[in-house]
Amino acid sequence: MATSPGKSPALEAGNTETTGLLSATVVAGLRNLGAIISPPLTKLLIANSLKLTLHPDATIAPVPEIYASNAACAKQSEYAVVTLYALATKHGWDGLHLRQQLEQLGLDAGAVDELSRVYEDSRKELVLRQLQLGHSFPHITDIQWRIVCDVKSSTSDCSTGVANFHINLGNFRPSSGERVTIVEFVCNAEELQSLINRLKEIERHCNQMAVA
Amino acid sequence: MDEVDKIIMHQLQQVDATIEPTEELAEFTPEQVVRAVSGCLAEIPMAQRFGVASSLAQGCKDSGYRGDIGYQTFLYPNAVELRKLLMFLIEQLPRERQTTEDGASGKMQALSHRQLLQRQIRKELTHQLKTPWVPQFARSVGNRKSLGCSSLGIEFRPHINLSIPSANPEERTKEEQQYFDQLAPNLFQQTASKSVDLIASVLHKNELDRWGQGLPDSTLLFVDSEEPEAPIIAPTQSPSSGEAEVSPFQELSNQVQELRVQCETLLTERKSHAAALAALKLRETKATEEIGRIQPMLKLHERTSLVLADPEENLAKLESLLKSTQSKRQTLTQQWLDYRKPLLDTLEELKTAKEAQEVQGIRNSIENLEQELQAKTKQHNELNATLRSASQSLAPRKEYTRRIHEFIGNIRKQRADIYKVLDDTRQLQKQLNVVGAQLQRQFNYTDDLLFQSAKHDLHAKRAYKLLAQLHANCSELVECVSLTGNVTKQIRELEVQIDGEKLKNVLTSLQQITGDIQKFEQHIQELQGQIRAAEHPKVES
Repeated sequence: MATSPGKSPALEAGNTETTGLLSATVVAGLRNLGAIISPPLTKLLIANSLKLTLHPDATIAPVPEIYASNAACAKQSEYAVVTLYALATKHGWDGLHLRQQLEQLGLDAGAVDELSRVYEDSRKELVLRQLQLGHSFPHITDIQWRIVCDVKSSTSDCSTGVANFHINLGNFRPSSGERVTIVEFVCNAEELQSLINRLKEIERHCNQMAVA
Repeated sequence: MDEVDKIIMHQLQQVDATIEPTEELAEFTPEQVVRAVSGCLAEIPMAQRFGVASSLAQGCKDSGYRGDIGYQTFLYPNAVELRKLLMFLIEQLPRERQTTEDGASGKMQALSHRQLLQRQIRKELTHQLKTPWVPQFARSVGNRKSLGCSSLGIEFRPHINLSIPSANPEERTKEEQQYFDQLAPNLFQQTASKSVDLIASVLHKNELDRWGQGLPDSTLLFVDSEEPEAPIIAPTQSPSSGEAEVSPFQELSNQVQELRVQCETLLTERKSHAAALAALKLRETKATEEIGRIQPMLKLHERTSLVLADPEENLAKLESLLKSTQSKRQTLTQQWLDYRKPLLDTLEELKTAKEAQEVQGIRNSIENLEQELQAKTKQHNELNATLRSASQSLAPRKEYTRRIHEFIGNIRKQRADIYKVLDDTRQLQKQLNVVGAQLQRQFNYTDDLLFQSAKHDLHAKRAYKLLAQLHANCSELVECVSLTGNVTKQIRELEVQIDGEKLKNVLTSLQQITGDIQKFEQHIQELQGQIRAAEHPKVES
């Protein structure tokens, strides 16, 4: 769903009034709070959005009353609240800065209060949640192996009798606990030995660093 | 004790270069003592000498010094105590200090950031190594705060097509509005899938909304996509219009064909012409070469024919010419010789002069080298002498180590003796205990026996009384003996203390102290006088 071509008054207002980090849709969604959506529902919507942001896997009971009267606005506002908190966390705003930004947008005073309060209360969790997000090298936390030996191949009918280690390094997905293979390789005993020695060297280095 | 003092001096010099070395510790001034000790400990920012001295003493005590120490040690020093203290402090110095001292102070500031980071890493690693193992699935709870997020990363995978109502409700169609009101899933339902992340999605959409406005929009994109189509449309149109004019096209192509053929023939012609031209040029060069060869021959022939035209006259002419040339040549040779002679002479002179100069130079250098050789020999002798003296001065060190070994041997012997004495004492104590116990048992038994018989017999009663008295007297005696032993021990300790005090030459210190006190009193009197003088004029006024 592409956004409408940018001639909306909300966008222009947003561009002139804020630092321009929030898109027109977000600004519109925030303006709904406390206006089209009643103050108690605003509170509920903010709390719900925060809960679902912090615990993406959690199963939280649906709150049908939010969508009872003006569903489109509610959906827009949910998006706006989540985006606002994500951006605030991303740019390291404190509660006061968030409040200033919101006041510049000319929002409902009650909504501003509620948004800043919730943000200040759960800022730590938001930061922790967002710190996990990103691209990184895989962590290896599990290893599986088996000893393999060929029986016959397309080029030879008899076994070579060479035994190899078939090693699989991987980790477990934190959300589902399912195992993910990161690298898989084959090596003989000598290669394995040298690999282990290198790993031991790492351990020694770590100990040395800690002791010295 | 000079050797010990020398070692102490050496060490103090390394700790603080401003300490002036003296021969013995006995010559140390109070200021030097303070400086030496404060150099060994950390610097203490206090103004008054007393405060500094007492804090130094406290510092020494804190660092494990067990001897008698106080502010008096620093203000009124004596060699024995000072030696003990400084030796203790120098032993406590870290070993690397001397080597790192010079380099470290300069680098301290430059490396501080890096060192801080390294220290932090070290701390972190130590901490990580000490934390208990937690199974991976529980790490989000267990070690999360201390170890960061570990492997519990969430990939930044946005939902690239979030369906959120746009900013302006007026621009939505009725169907769209209805869809958003009823059917559209909310944000959380859209991102519930495992393959996308909520925060990544909203950040992505926000940026897209912000920057997508400035970029070519859907309409512009359509224009863009039209452009590549244009060339495709053009060829499809051209054949339809070209069908009517087959003959001119044919004509033109024919012309082109003709021109091409013409061009080819012209090209081949040009090639043949170029080859002919090259051959002609070759011939021309050959001809010019021939001409160059023939012309001098031609000239010679012309001249001989001229000479041969009138042989006799020409012959006489030639002979006279030859003669005149010969005479001319002779005069020239003469002239040349005249010129050459003086020049040869000067050349000879110069050569001899140069040689003489060289010889002189060599002589000079020989003299210089001789002088140098003498100086070197002298230096060599001197160095030999110093070497000999140095090797002689090495001897005391050997002597010293030998003495140390002797001391150690003596100490070992004494220790063995002490152990022996201790063993004896223990043995004696054991025997004493055994005998004492035996005596006690004997007494108890006798006591019982006499008590039983005392009920019936008068003598026995008396005997019992006597026994009791004997027992009391004996115990008194034993007590007396032990008391005597204690007193002897105390006397010995006091003697040792007296010896120690004698070593401290209290008298001189006392004199110094009284001198100081007198100075202070004088000072106080002066001050009082000043105060009075200051008060009087006020009163008068």
